Amino acid sequence: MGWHEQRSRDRVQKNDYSDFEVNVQDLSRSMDFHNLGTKDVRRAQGCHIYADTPNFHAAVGDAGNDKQKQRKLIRAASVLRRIQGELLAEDDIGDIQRQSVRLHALNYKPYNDQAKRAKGAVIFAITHNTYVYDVYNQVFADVRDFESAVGIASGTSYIANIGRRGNRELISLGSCANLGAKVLGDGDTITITKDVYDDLPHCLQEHFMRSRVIAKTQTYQSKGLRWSTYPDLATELGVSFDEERWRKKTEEARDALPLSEIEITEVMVLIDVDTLTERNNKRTSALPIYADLDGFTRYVQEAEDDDAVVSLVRQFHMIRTELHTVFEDDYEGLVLQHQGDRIFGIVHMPCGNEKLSKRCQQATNVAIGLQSSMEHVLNEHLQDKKDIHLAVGIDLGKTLVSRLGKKGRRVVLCLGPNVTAAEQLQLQSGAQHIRISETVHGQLEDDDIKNQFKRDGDSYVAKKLTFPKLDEIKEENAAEAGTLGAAVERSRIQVTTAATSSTRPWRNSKPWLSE
Amino acid sequence: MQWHECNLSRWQREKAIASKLLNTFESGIDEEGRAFFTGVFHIYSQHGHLYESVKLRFVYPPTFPKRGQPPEVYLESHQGRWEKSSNSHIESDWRLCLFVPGESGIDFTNPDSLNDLFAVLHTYLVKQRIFQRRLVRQRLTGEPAYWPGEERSHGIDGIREAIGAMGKIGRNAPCPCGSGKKYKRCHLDTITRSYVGT
Repeated sequence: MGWHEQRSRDRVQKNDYSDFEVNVQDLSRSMDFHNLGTKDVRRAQGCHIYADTPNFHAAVGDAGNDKQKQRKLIRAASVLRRIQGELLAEDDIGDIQRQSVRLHALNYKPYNDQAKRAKGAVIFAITHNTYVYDVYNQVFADVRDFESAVGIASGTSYIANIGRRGNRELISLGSCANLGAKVLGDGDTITITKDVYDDLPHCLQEHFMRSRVIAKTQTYQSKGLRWSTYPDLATELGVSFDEERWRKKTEEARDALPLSEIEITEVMVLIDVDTLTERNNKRTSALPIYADLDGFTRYVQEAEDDDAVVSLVRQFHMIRTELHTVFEDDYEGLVLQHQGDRIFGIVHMPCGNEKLSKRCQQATNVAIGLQSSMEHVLNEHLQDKKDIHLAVGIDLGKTLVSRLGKKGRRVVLCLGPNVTAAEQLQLQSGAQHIRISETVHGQLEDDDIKNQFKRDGDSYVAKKLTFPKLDEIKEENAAEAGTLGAAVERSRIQVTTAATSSTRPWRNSKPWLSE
Repeated sequence: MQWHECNLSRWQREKAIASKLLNTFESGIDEEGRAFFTGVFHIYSQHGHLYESVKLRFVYPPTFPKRGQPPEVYLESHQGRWEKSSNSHIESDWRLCLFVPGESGIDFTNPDSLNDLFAVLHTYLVKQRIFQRRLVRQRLTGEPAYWPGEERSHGIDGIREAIGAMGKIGRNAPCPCGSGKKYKRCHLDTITRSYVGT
């Protein structure tokens, strides 16, 4: 169908969430964020923790077409998700979201003691790294030496549930919620912001070194900080990490999911996410797309009262709903997850019946459609918040798609080296940019679109590219070539740049001055 | 008796179509007894982006829809913004030169033919925007401004080009120039003489 501004306007007009009831309350003892309704928003003080296994996606690439290796990776991901949940529960830390194999959690207890929250977050980080390197990697020795890295940032954020049909899909809005992911370092590191560092007890501070400035924030980093290598620290902090106990749990979780029960099939039709389980997985060539709302978190951070937050949350829902619709309804893309103020989805190829170049074009059109809705439609509804734009990253490659977890708390996984590559392309992109890999660029058949992308490093970037901008170029070319035409359908003007006498009665104009 | 008086249902049909495509639609009969309507027409891009809106006036010939005479379309807005010249295909009275009428391919006896006229008009206006942009560039850089795409020469040459593109025209067919006369009573002789001359 494709993006169309009038349709987009109709949708946003109909669904602008201006009447959407939003209840903003502080997170407190009497309420946590695990049973949030879609109208509830919790203001939370605490430490956002991102625990990543950075080389997991690469392992999927290395597995290639080997089905057994792919099964082992699905099982390893499933066990990691489960054990991470138990580690969080033991430390009483809130589980916000799993972004494939990246964990996003929030340490918001105790409610009035940031120093204890910071300490608790770093203790969890050490436990996570210890678990991955000393337990998990031994249990899954035949799969890969996985790495673990944790990033932590503190501050105020807002937690909301945007899940549909009983599914829980938590998002957190606020710059600290994103910063935790941005500061993530290499394997076996824990990276924290200065605020977190300042709140730590001396015995932890001495393990961190001043590191890079990221997003204008000074960070501190420790490397190789695990309970096994620093037993005295564990004793001083009163932490007891029982390796044997966790090994047993991990082995039990592994054995509960025999490889023979894990099915991985090539995609023959467009994926229906609801049918996926850890036993029913798909492998497909896909174009992962990350689209980030640039500037939104700053407005969240600057919100001075509840009314401002309510207004922002309504606008967020409006933006999210429209972008979701462009992705899925206009272009048959598949939105897999909302990660804070970022959308992650794929355009994928059922094997055999689709040309690769067609899907690359489709994914690029998704990106242009998203930018078009943002710049030409949504921005008009954002009142004074005119600095909200999108940054999009796209790559191409083989991915494994699965869905783990229990009913209501399922998480869709999309694994593959190009997933992280697409994320990196998005992170490199500024407002109104679409950044695509060289592979995707090489596949584009539409020269007008292809020419809008300029080489920048090892990728290609288009700035301020929207369909209306593209239309001006295409229509001028078509006017010259005699292929510009129009027709009236259901009392609406339809324009084409590919009018031929055989396609339909498009009307051209060959002007003439009578005398 | 004018056509709109004896063919009331067609006049109603014309107004019904136009009122859906024009904002602030108004219709009436002018002092010369001709049916007309006015309204604001939106110029959209392929993906539905509103480029701009123009105010137009459609004036019907007395014998419409016979003899291939189309309604005339006049530009009522943009008169201070767009340049009116022969190269811009706008007449001195702001009538838009959309086509050699006989070449348009529109059968004006079809009750829905106004939709086709609007389609032609839209394409014309998109091209006009491009041309006006080129005129601005010409003033700034000296780069000559050309009409985007095919156009017919002015006057008789344009009719000859149109006839060439259309193929044979019967002597008793309406003249392609849109005068409402038969070809043999309008441009046939001129065209034939000019062929002989060449």
